[in-house]
Amino acid sequence: MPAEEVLALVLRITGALAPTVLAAINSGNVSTLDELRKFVPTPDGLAAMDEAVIAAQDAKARAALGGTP
Amino acid sequence: MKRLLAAVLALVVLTGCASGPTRVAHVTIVSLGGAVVAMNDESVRVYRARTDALIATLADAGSDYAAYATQSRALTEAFRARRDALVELDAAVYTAAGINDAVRSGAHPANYVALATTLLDAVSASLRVLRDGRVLPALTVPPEITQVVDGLRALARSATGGVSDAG
Repeated sequence: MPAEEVLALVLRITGALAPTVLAAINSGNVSTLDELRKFVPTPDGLAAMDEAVIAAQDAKARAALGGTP
Repeated sequence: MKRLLAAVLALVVLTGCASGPTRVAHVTIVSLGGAVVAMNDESVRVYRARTDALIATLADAGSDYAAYATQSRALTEAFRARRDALVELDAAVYTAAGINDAVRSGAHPANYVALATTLLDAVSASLRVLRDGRVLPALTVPPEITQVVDGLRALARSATGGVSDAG
C-alpha cells in the first residue's frame, strides 16, 4: 500500500483514534488498505455512538424524574 | 449513499496515482476530517444541553419520566436526522474535495459535471437539515466545508452555464 495512501487515511481518522491506529500500524497489525479502513468511523459506528448518547440522556432523565419509561 | 461511497473509494484510488494531486487532496482531507468531526461533536453537545435543560425544567415542575419521554421525542428525532445528514455530508464533501483537487491538478472539468451536480444536491439536502434550527439550534458549518461546496458549485456552474444552489 502506498505510504501516501496510508497517510491520507490515517489523517482522515479523528484525533482521538489516530494514536490507536498509528500504534496498530507500528505493531504490524495494519498492513492493507482494508484493514486501515476499519478504523475510519462508519455510518453504523456513528449511529451506535449517537444512540449511546440518547440512551445516556434517557437514563439521566429516569434517574432524575423517576417513573416508568 | 452507496453511490457516494463508491465514488469516495474510487477517488482514494485515483488520488494515490499522482503525488501532486495526492498532496493537495491530503490537505483537504485533513481539514475536512476535523470539520465533520467538529460538527458531530457540536450536534452531540447541543442535544445534551437541550435534553439536560428539559430534565431540569420537568424536575422543577414535578413531572415524571413519562413527560420526558414525550417531550424529548422531537429533540431525539432531530438529533438522529442530523446524524444521518452528517453521514451523507461526510461522503459527499470528501468526494467533492477529490473532484476539486483533480480539476486544480489539470483534469478536465467536463468529466466531473454529472458527479458534481449530484454531490451538490446531496450536500444541499444535508446542509438544510444541519442548519434547521426549529427543534435544535442550527449547527455551524465550518469554512472548510463551505469552501469545498463553493468549489463544487463553481465547477457545476462553469461547466453547465446554469445556476446551482448549495444552501
